Amino acid sequence: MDVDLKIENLSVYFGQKQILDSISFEIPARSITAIIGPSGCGKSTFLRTINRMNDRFDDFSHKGSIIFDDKDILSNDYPVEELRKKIGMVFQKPNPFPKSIYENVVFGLKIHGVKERKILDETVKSSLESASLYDQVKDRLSMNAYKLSGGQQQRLCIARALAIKPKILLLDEPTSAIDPLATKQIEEVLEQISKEITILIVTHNIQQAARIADYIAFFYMGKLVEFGKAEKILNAPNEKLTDDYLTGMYG
Amino acid sequence: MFKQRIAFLSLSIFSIGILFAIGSIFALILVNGLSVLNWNFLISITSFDFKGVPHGGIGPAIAGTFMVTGLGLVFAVPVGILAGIYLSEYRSKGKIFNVLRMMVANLAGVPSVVHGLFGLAVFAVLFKFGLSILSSALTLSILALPIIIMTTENAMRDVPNDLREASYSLGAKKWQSALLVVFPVAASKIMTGVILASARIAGETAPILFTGATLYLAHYPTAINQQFMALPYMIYGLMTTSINISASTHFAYGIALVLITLIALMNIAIVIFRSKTRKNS
Amino acid sequence: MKNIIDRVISVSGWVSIAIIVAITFFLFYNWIPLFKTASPIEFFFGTLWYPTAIPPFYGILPLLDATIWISFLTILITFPSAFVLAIFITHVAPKRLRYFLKIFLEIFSSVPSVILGLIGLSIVAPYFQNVFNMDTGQNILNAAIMLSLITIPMPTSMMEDFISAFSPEQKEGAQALGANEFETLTKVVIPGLKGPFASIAMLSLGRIFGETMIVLMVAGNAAIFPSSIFQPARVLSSTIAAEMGETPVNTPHFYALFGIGAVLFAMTFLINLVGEVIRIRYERQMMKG
Repeated sequence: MDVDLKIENLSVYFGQKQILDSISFEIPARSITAIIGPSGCGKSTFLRTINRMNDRFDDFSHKGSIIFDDKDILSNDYPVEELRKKIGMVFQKPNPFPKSIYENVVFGLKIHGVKERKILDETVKSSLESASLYDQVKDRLSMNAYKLSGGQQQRLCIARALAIKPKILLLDEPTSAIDPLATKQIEEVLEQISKEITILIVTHNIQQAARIADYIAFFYMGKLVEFGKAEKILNAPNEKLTDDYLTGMYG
Repeated sequence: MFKQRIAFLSLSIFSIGILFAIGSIFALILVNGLSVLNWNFLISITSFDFKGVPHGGIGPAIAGTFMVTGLGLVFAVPVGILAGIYLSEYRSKGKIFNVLRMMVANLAGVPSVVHGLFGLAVFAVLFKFGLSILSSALTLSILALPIIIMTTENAMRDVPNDLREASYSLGAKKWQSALLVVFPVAASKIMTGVILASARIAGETAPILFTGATLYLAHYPTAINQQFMALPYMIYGLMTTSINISASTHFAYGIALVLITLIALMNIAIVIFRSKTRKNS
Repeated sequence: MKNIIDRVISVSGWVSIAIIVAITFFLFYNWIPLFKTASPIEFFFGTLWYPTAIPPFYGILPLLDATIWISFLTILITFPSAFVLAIFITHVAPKRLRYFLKIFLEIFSSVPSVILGLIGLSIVAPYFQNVFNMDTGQNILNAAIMLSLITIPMPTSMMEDFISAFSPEQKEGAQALGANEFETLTKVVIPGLKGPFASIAMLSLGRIFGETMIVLMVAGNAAIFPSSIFQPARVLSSTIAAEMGETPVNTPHFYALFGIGAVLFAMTFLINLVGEVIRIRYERQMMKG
């Protein structure tokens, strides 16, 4: 299996408090990997460590490494802006900029120096199409993004992240604040784009994982308990902990 | 129970008295100044006859006030906004931040006459700008700086963090996030600070007293290296150096009315901007 | 990632410190030369300020004394007035009036001090002379009154903020024990706000020390030790404003005026610092409790 991201013995600390403990696994390319586990077990922290969003906290420190394209992306030598070009993120609460839909999508391109109108226009169209939003907004690209519904805003955020053509897309509970119909639309979008892009999605919703994930990682209290193909984890997990969690969730 | 009634009643009487005193200031300016006000007053050049009675109008003084305030803002606004951005996006906590913040507050508390001394020593004498609009504008800009810095910092801080996170997650550098994402959202509030600062420095007398303001110019100001007339200084000058007190006082009330109206207009602009920000968020 | 824009922003961030340092430097730089012709003792403890006499006298004691007289009298009028007004706004005035009052005070606080000087000179002074038969209407009392008027809005609005934001839990606790509104106010809220009120008093004092134009226009022109509030006086700030215009650069008089500026700067800096320290200490106390 083609691997995009190799997590090697990753431990993460905020000050004295340890959040993640020796996480090691490999994330397969061009597939959907879901990270599940009870709240507070470090799933979001793990995601944010990958694209180094945790760097802004002064008390953040880590051990171990994350290998991407044969380089350790957590090392200080690796420029963080380059990293975020290749690894994008969509957040739990949709956070479009208070700008037009067009300006939202091209923001990533512009800050990386792309100026040519033709390229910008084309990218806007293709990104919005990938996010299943283009048909709904193609006549009002100059409209302020805040006027869109919650589900549309989140798809805009996905389009915005896709515009800079990342290899990996991280999603932190992207549908927990969205209604079920919009959730379904977003899940379809993710399944489509996972043919080209590796998806790593944190989710509270086991049914969601069951619906769309190819692989599942189960986190518990900052440790990686189990990782494997989705069908296996859901139906015949190796660890009792995993089994307990899943049956607990299913009721 | 009864004690409470008496207490609040006497409190109210006292308060209304104070408010009345404050309100009467506005009323006095309006009543005494209105009779002087006409179009001629606003645009004519000032002249004094040999009896010390002022004639003409305050055109040059209005122009002077506009020029020195405008130029002062030209200096203070870019630096002040950048400094505010620094305090909110680059160094927003920690020991150094506390020191910097305290320094801004202390700069805000420096007496305006001390600013005047500084302006005289540095701009007029050391930099050789002499007594001029330029010297006075630079001096006033130092007065305006803390106001703009504090307003900008607060406005930027008020912008919710998830916008910054979105920007960083797309690979934006710190200055890109600050200027392209956060600043546009904070812009209206920052504008409020700029208007506040301009209302403040338009009315200041001490800083321009010995850096460039003069009581009498026979023409409109034409260059920034010249001395200039200004509304607040004119009031002071008329009331303290004139031969004909009653005529000068009359004139001075007209100037006071113009000055207050100008500042009131700026305050109204602030209120309008404030309600505009509320609509946007 | 240090590129030009980052550097420009960082440098701007330090501009306020740079200016304070520069002000301190230039004040002293233009003051020290005074001591070639006059001694520091003469300056700080001299009882006569008469720089245009021959020989000149550069003693700031009378000016310092007058500053204390006027500031003290002003705070005496301002602080209780602001206090009463703040309570009126928070506890007596109906909600609609409250908003209007806050705006009213805010607008008034942007009235330039020179205009209050105008009123003090043209209306209050003659009134004092004609109705109260004072020797001169341009005196300490006049200055203190006009100064109070212009100072009142700031502490009023600050106190009002503190009073309305005061811990509702503590207020409820008092009310549960049977205290009425006035008692809650005087026995719980006000004592609890000792810290912030002290810092507000400091801040107001700093503003009063620095005020120039009102005192310049309204307190008369006598650089002497005041003997009563009905007499004229000259304070530190108004002395600079009154005399600098006619003083040639780089003369002892020039240096002496900068000296006054330095003293004034130091005084207000210290007061503001004390005010800030009190405020921070109170905040820390609030965090614990």
